[in-house]
Amino acid sequence: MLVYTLRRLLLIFPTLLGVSLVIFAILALAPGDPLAAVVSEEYGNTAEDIERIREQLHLNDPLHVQYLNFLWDAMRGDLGTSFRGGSSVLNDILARLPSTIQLAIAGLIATMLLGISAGVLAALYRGGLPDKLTMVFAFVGVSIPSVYAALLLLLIFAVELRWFKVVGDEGLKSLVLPAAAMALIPAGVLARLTRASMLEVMEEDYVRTARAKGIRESLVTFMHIFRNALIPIVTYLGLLAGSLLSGQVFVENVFGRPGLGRFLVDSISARDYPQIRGGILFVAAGYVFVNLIVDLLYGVIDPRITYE
Amino acid sequence: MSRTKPQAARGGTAASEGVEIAPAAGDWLVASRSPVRRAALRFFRDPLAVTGLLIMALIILITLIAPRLFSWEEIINVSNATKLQPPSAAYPFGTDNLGRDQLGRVIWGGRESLRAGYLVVLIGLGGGTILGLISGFAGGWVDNLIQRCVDVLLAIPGILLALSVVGALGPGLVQVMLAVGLANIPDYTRLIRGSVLEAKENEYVRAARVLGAGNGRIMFRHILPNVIGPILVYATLGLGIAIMITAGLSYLGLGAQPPSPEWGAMLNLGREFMRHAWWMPVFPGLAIVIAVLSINLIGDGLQDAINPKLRK
Repeated sequence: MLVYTLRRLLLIFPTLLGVSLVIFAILALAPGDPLAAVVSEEYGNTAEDIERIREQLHLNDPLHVQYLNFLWDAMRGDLGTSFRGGSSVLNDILARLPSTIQLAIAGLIATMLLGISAGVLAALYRGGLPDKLTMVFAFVGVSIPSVYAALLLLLIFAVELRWFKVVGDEGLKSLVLPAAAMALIPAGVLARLTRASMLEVMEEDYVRTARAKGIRESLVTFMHIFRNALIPIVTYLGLLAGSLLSGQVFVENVFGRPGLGRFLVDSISARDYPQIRGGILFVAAGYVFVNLIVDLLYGVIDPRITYE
Repeated sequence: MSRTKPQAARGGTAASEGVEIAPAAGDWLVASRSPVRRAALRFFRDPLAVTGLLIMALIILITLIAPRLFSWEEIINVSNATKLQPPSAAYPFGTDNLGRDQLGRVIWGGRESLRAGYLVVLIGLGGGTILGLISGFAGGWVDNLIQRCVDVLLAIPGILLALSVVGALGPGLVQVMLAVGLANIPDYTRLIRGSVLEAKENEYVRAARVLGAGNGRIMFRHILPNVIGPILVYATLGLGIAIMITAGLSYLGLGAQPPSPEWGAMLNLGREFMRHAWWMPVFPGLAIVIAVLSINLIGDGLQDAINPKLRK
């Protein structure tokens, strides 16, 4: 376990290196001049001005030098300065981070509540109404884009019923609708997964043994079936991180939340390269770390998992 | 983006298993010879899958004849007289803030959104098939190199990869299609490589080699047809996701730009006028849901037909 943890930790360096290289390459190999959206002769900048700015931003250096500088700066926590306004990209990101983390946690809770409870109910009442409803929910849920789910929730609960404000911060309350919209697709997948996993465990010998010993049915359900059914569900949590992330990009915009997803979209619309690059690298690195944690968690939850 | 369909990856030898299972079950399908025909028969006996197929066929038909139903001028021209009218007999989906018939726009938008979805899948599938076949078939350092690149790309969530490509190319529907398509390539590469590795061990591949078939022939005539099933399932389910993601990115203003009636762009406009005109966001979104739902029905049906053992 210790060896595995160490190896997994060490593996993070080549992964992050690769990730930074891919992101740098995609943005650097783009046709056109990254500066064109900010300074150009059309906007009244002279050719000398543009050349001076290029020199200042080190855009005339060979690509590998630019990459190594970018990497060296990133390792010291400097993600560059924005083309617009010249603010520090890292500071801009950190300012947006709390809102994004709040929504990610709320989305995760909503997904687990919705997905796991629907899946458990479906398995316990196999073939009955809860099962059918869950399967319909799971199937329709994954077919609704989070953008549309967010708009519908906003339309029903904010515009029509007026339970929530359409815009503006209401503290924790303002997390409810975005979290629900984000949860819809992953909860649908999770519900199917939980159901299948529960049904599989129910067939196990140890469940029959537990019943034969006369243990109360509610205890059998939670201590024997549910706990063992959790393992594939935890595996899904790693994938969930990616799913919640893309939900976040879409949902933050609908609800006007000032998070990282919106930051990325705004910087792409404004073609602010340092912001795009820094933002994507930051989120991708965060994702790599979340996956690492989930991987290490497997061993804690299921002692049967052995690491080579 | 979706990396959540591990079942599809396991179906590599489904066709050959089907041969052994069918006679034991006393299935009348034994009568038909090829595994493809058996799968097709199974697919068409599944009412949900057939419903999905019929809906999709209808959607494609309507989008194809769209120019006969509504002229492009009607779709983009502004008319103050008919501004923001609720759904009625004349305008079943209502009109938007510029007085344009929403029904016509949704139908024309389907052309954009569906085409975008198909192209995304084609890019991902094309790139992934080539890389996956090479990787799985060549083995050695080629395989290693491709797989390490795929490792890195899979460590980045698909949506971020897509966003960085849009970041590089700038906003626009074509750029978004390219971005989402490219972001899909690593998934398909992994999937296809796995299937190829499995198929490579089959007797018929060795037989073909003994008979003197070259690498290209073995790859495309012997291995590809045998790994296509699970890939088809994955691509179908991926089409639904592709449509949702491209529409989502258009909603964010990164894809189709006004006055395009692309569904995501319509949703974006609808968000603005939602307080006064609920029909503006509701109908284009409903179109996305119906399209994606029918595609998912087809995908699930295909999955069951190709790999009956997985049937719930």
